[in-house]
Amino acid sequence: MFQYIIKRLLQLIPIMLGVTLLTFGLMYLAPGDPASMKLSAQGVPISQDIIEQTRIEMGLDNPFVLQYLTWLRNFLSGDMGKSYADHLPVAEKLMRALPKTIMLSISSMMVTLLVSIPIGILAAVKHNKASDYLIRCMTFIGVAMPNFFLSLLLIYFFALKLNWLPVLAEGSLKGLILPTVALSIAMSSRYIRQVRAVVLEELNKEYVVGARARGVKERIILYKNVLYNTMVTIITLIGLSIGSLLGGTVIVETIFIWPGLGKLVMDAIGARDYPVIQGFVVWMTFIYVMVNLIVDISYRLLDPRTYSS
Amino acid sequence: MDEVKILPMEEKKKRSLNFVKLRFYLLMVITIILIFISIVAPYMVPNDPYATDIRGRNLPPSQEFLFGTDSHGRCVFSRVLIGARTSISAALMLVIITFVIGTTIGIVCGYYGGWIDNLFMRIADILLAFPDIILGIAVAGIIGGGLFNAMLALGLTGWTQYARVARSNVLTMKEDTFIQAARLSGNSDLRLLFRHILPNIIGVLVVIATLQIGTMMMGIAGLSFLGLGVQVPQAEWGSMVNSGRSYLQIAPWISLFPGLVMMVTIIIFNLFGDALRDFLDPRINNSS
Amino acid sequence: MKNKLVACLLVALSLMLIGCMGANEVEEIATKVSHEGEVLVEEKSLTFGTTNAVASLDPHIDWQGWFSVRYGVTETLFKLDESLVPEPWLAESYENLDELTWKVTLKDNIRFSNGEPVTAHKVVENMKHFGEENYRAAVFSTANYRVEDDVTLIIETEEPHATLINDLCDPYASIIDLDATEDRSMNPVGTGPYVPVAFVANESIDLEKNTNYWNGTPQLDKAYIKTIPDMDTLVMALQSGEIDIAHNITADAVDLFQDTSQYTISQVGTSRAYMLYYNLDTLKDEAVRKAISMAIDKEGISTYLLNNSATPAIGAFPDTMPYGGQQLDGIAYNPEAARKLLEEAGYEDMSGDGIVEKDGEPLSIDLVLYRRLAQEDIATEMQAALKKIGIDVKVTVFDNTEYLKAGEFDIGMYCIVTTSTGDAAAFLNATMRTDMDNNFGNYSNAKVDALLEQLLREFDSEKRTALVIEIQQLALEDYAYDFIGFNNMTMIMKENVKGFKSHPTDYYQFNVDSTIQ
Repeated sequence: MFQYIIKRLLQLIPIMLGVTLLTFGLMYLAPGDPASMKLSAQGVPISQDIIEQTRIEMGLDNPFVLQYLTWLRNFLSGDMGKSYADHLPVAEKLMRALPKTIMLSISSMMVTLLVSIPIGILAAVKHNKASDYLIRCMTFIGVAMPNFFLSLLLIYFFALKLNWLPVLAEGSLKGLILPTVALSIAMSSRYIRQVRAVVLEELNKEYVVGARARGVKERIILYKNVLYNTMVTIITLIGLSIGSLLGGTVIVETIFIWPGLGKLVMDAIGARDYPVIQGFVVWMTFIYVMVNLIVDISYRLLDPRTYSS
Repeated sequence: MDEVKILPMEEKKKRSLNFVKLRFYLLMVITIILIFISIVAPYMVPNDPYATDIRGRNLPPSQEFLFGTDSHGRCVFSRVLIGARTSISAALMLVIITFVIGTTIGIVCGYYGGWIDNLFMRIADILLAFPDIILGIAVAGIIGGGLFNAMLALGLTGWTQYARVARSNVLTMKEDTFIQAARLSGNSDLRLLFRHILPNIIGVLVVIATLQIGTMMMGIAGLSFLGLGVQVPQAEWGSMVNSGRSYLQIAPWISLFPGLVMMVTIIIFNLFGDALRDFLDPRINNSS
Repeated sequence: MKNKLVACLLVALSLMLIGCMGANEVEEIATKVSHEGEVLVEEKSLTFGTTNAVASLDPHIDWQGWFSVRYGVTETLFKLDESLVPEPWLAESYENLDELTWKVTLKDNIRFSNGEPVTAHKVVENMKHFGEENYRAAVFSTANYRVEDDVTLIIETEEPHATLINDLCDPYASIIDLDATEDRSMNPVGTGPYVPVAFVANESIDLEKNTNYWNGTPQLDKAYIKTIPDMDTLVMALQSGEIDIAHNITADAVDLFQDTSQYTISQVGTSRAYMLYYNLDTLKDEAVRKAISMAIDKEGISTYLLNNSATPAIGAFPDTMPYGGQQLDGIAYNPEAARKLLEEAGYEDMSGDGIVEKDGEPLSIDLVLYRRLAQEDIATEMQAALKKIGIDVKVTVFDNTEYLKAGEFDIGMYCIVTTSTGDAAAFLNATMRTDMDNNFGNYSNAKVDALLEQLLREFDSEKRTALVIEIQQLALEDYAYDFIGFNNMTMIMKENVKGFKSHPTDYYQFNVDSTIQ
């Protein structure tokens, strides 16, 4: 197991190098001059001399490879540069926003698990009954509902019309509710369908049918065997959906003004704040590959079949 | 507690087979109608979707304007129709292009192996390391907005799925006796790939592609919503929802209608994808 | 089986742990706020919502002074009145001794918030400092200074500089106690009615009243400035009562606050103009430029499209200025005449596609702009309006203003403050003079150039006004620019919020009388 983890970690090095190169290359190819972008933020006359001077200060006149290597060296030593917009260190800005995004992701994941496992099992047990159809119907809508559209509806009804929840999330626990719901609905819908399918398959397997025939109680069958097998599916699902969860946070955070990484990057894109965008992309990617690694490891712990192969 | 009804295997298969077939054909017809509407939309619009009327802004739905008017006094219904063309055809095109490119790369990598395989799979590893639309946001956010850039941004990672699935399928098939036999009987690589291997793996790839249409549509709409997709005054559902955002309290129809239509469209494509998968499922097909 | 269970538990446990960590942190913040709330029962405080993010409170750098003056933290020697004419603030008076020499006398009772008196010596230090720190204040870095006594100083500029007093109104010219603070970006010591006690860059500023204020007692005990970048959220927060006052509200949202028993609306015209640059290298035909200008319904755009959040423009400056649009002859909206004009110039629709052609070439122009205020809305409307007279318009939206410098446009839309300190010369010189930095359309008129040169050296205000009018008129008659409208700013507050008034400069909102009842 230990060897496996080391091997996986080593594999991550070239991938992360590729990620940084791609991210940095994009910035380099980007149209527009960040120096004058930085200066003209307020839309009032500025002169060519000042732009030139700023370009040199920002190191924008160096060749690509030099810019990349300098950037990478600094990046690895924890210095991700300074934001063009407010001169604050990017690392500091990201560190401040990161816990909020993690909080939102985890709460969405927890809600999803808490909702989808029981409902998925219910749908499977009530196979082809009214409640099953109703649940399936809802999941189809949930999957197809664009998260930005859902977010707007939530904010309109729950914050404004009913006034139950604050408009300004501002990182508070109460403010966490709506963005969590917005992210959880689509994800839960996907999970419910999968859980239902797995449980259905398990229930039809011979050992379950046999157990039932032997008179073992339905509930015990569910708990002991089916639930365990569902766990493996859930772990796989987490690995698959963490990407869209992280992506979804960008849109949802922007709408709910949740002060996480997504909101940070959208502000940065508006201001062409390259160092912040770079830092964001690399961090998000790093989180993603690390979570996937953890998922793979738990998967191996849970399911010895993949381990032995 | 209910008992799960266990039907005799044969009867169950027969019943579900008929149902699967029926559902598939029904959804195929609906999907074709939808695509047809998106193509002929310009000839169906009751009003010019781009004609503004600053004295008739934010009008509620009426007989003249079925979905009301937006903040420029444009007909929302006409714009939803014309937006269907942008949203649906962009998603379809994106899926087709990534499908063709991804499948080709996957087959070639799987069949030849070696450095080509290594190169493309490492590129795919890197691209797959970016979570979901994060790379799309970075690309569109840096290179700039526009429908083309948004599609490029999504396509950049889109092909990897097909490539991986095609590759792994080719890898297992390569060792099959009938392929070996075909090779020994002097078939060229090209013929082997396209006459013998491709037809055998295309089904699973088409299912992936169909299910991707909805995802891509949401991706494009998401980028447009963030202001990284289509440019003004082009009609696209995501950007229409976004532009109506400020009017949610004054004129909710501006956001509501494109949002609902988009949702229904995605549901239809997803249902079609599911139906297609069941239809092609060998477990059901083999029994017939 | 045991192993697997342990693994399951571990995963679940670690997930929960991380979740709880986040939750604890939030609760801590929540209790802190409620504690403060208990202590402050007697105190008057309000929350001000804004879309603007403040990166630093140091007034001398970049544009940060706008915020410190707006929120009543720092003040300047002179202050602009409602028609942007300078009047004394920290200064008592000034005298222009000759073209290069100015004498400024300070009020003798001014103190910084830390109790230190404001002396001529400290003011000179400030001038040298912002002259170094801020490129817009270059004139102060090359000037010579003499301190006559505690309240009198002499400024000698290198070149004649007619608008020196206007420049001293610019918020970068805030007078702060340079010796008092280590980190000016966090807590500059100014002379204003409020003192920053907590500052989080781009998020919030907490203010307390300045007990040493020189001009009365500030009415508010505390004020919280909150940055809410999204306009829709800002509006909803005001509706739900989470903030008490908000500024720069968009026109359509104003409709939600029409109930005067609940809200007060304060609106003011500004000199931020929506303007068009005609690219004279690509749009060579004057008839086309004229026709375009005739087809733009400035009145309709301001009244309907922008819901009265703009005032129609003729020239570069609003009517409140002595050289405003009322002094100029502009072109009237007349799409019929515009179509005729195009026809006379040889543009006719032969192909029947609704777009006119000349020599077989359809008339198609590129309109480019960047995302700012209502620019996209105006462009969309212009596109539709020009289509009606047979001109095909392609709109491209950028995130920044690079496109203008590259000259890749036929019409460039721009949104700019034409006179931030009541001085018209800077804008005209940068925009209309041959080869200047902001002359994006390559306009060149020898007479305009000569008049601009004259303007820069003219000290007499009446003559300056006449020159400014003449220059604008010439440029308008060449159809080199068009000005669509001036942005009106709207501040909305709850009915019990008093003492706030919108000002054309967009600073000066907080003052000693600001309060909540």
